[in-house]
Amino acid sequence: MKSIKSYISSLILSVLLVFAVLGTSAAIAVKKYASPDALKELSIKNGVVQQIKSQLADYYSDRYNATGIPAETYTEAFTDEYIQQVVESYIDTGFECINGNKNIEFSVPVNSELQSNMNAVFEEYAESKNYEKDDFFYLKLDESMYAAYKKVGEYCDVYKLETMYNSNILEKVSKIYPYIDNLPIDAAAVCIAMILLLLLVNLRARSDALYWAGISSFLAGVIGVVPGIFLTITRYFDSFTIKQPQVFTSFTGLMYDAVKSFIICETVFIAVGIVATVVYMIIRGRKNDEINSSRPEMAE
Amino acid sequence: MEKKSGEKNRAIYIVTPFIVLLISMAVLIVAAIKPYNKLSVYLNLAFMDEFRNNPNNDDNGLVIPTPNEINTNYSGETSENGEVVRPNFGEQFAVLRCESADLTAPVYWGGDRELFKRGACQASYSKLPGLDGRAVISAHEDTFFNNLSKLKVGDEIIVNTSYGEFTYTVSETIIFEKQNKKYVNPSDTSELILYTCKKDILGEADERIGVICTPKESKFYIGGTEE
Repeated sequence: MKSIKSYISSLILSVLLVFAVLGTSAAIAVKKYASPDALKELSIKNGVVQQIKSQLADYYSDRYNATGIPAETYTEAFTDEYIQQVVESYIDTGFECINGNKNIEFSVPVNSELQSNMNAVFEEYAESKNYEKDDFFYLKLDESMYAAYKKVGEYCDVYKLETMYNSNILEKVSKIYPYIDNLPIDAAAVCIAMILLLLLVNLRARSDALYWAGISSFLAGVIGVVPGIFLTITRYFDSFTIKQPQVFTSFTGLMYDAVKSFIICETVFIAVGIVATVVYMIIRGRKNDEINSSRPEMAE
Repeated sequence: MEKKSGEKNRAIYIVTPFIVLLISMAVLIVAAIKPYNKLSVYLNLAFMDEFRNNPNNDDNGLVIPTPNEINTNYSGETSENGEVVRPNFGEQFAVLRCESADLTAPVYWGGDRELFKRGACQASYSKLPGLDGRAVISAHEDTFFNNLSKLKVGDEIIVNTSYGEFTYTVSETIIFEKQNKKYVNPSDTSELILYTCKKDILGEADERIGVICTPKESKFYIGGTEE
């Protein structure tokens, strides 16, 4: 620390570097999950398909007495593959909007087994009751099919992308989404710029820049890790308001994973900070030894 | 002198990280105040479950208290005026009866799939019996409101609660589309609306059937319900 001027300049740059490091960790965490593939992987990892199937089975069992349509009509057609297909279709459509396509439509893939099951139930009903298969009969059949697709779409929209689209939230996200791709690189570039400025400010003792960068990295890591660990240990995200199991699991799973990624990044920066500071101390120690050994001995 | 200079440098190396930390925290807090104030409403809405219930845990979900014993044969003192006792969500707070239509149903406060399996449900945004305003009670047409279609103008409905007995008279039978909220939205008119799904050939019912009942008599219990 050769002069007060360089000390204060380094202090300011060090504080800025703390925020740049925090920003880099946050950018890495955001970029990791801001993609359809990441969300699809998470949905598989969190087992939402089974939750959706269970919810649909409960729903149609409850509705049987009111509708006369046995739950198996639906549940036999809702295979794991089909449900996963619907979940992924909603994610893909949501990201189409996020990528700038404003005229999207959330739709559910056709399920031929559901259609044939439904036809069979209606035919059987008509035969058993001698019910004339008039226009009203076919209208009820179409309405029941439509209601089934709507219900399965509603249950499979685990990230509530259709709701966000209808509230214009996805449109707002689409304005900043293009910048997310380069965010980690931009943030890292700012970190490098701060380090270069530290070197510039400490030209007389360039190793001091290592000290400043080290403590910035370490402190940024600590500032980031502590709230991250707090959120995880207190299970803060379990206070999420929506309690529909598949939506709850998808959102909280995403949030906990993102916080975990952030904590890992911050831990790396803590380690980098410690190593940089230790290396600085070693270099400093050797320099002091060199200075001491080159000084002439005092005459007695 | 060199020793003092060395000690001074060491002190600077030790104190500097704390100075950086303090400045960083101060900047972070000041910078975060405005965005936090803007976002806090949304954050509170998004994370408002204080109990942090995980719906995937077996022991979580709606906790339905043991059904209350509702006295339907109260013989003690009553008054036209009194205070209502607001129930908790999921609590059975009343019994609804209509002898002429052979209709009896426990009434729960709030609507939930589990509650509809156990009885009729009163919308928790509507007014409790005994209060001015509209009370809205619904149930499944294949269970507790199976006989609702038998109700006709002039029939009497009695609602026994823990705090009083309230008698209504059916004034109108109604049929409405499920999207039509005219009969289920809050209203200042003192009335009781009972409704259920209209039975159809197969599939979801688009229509609802029900009755509008006007208040006939209010008897608030004085001094408990044990008599």
